[in-house]
Amino acid sequence: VSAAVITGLGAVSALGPSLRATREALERGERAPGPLAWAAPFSCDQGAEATGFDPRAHFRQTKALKLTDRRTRLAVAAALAAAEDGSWPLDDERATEELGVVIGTSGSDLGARELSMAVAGDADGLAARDCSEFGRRILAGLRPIWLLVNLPNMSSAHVAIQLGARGPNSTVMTDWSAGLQALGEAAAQVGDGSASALLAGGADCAMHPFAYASCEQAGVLGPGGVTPAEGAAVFLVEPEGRALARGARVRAHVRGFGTSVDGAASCMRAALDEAGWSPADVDVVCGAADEDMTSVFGERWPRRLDLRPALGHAFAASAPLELACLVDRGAGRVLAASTGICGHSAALALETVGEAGA
Amino acid sequence: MSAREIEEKVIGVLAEALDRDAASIRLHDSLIDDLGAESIDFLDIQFQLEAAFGVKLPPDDIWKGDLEATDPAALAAHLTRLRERMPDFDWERFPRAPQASDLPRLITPRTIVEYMRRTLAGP
Repeated sequence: VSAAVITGLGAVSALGPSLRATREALERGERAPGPLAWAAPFSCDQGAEATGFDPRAHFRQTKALKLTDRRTRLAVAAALAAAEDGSWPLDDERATEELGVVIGTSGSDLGARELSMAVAGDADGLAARDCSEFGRRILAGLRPIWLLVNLPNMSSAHVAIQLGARGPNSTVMTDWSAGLQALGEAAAQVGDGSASALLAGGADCAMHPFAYASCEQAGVLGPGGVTPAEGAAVFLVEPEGRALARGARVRAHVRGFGTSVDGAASCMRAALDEAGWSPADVDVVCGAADEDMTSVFGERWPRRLDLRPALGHAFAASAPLELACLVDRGAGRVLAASTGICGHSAALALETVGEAGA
Repeated sequence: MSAREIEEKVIGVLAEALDRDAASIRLHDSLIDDLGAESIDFLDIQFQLEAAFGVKLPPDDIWKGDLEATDPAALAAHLTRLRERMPDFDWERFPRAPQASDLPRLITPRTIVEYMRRTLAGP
């Protein structure tokens, strides 16, 4: 991934509908999590919603909104912001033809509200007890676009549709590590020449009961653990030579990438190895748990950034959001890590360039 | 249900499905050329009509009907009838030598209003 650079950043978080708004809210010391009425049945009712986010402001064709869920809307907004931040010429046919998309997401809520309302409307309640009746009465009666809204690959698809990005398009679904993994895979594709430029990052909305139930079952919901959130962070990734040739501002160099299914420590080491860094070379870490820090850094930990008290945990978008903030303000040698409930992990070593103007 | 109520419901469904202001939708607009409908929208419109009117409609029945044409002579005769029935439609941009695949461009809000009137009136 040594040739890949980041030339654009875009984000939507629970603290603001843009990276700039998020940073300003963070500087004011704001914290997004608050009580959610519908989450009352869970052991923790706290969540971080992006209340100021208006998807209509970010869609070129607003008719497409009916085909999108919250996570896809967040992805489109962040991707558009990243392309604009990187001065990617979206009105140039040839440029959009080679622009690809890799969004990492933990998935949709399967239209939980629509499903539960349909079940509630089932007169004798048989659909709630009988699987074939559930299919016949509930699923067959859903709006026909229900599937299109909830397919996992729709975030990458709608980013491509809204931005006209007709290059390679894929979706990474490795739970909470999917955002960092999308960015790492994008850097690898750009580095080996299989893609010219990619919008890559994470997008997720955990503001639904499936997300709270999964955290509850894993024993991580609530204080000291996970406060579910929503958000997206997308990066414009290009080969360094092309970025310089088109006069783009290089914000960061991607130096190393690793993935694993047994926690973040091994992939943090893999990312360090690829970067050619020793643990002592790292200036700042985001996303890693205490046990990973000890395993990789021993007793001498580098500085850590943890924005989760302020932004909540936006699942696959959580580590990318922290990384976007670090790249935006310039942080030196950064090691970002992310681990999901089932242990799937990704880590990225990045070197930021200069100070941010915004 | 009165003719006016039917029309209002149809326009409401189209406004919702096609993300348009109801007041901007004209009965002679082409769903495809003026209102931007795509194939997925026709599925969605049918579903929303069924919900709004509380009826079950046979698949694609709204769009098939008299828009089906089997051979060039039938197609030409069909279009002649449609030109008489749809004087306010923007025929200028419709192909002079249309293929059967052009016919969906002739679907207008009025097509749906008239279909719903017939359907609700019963056999």
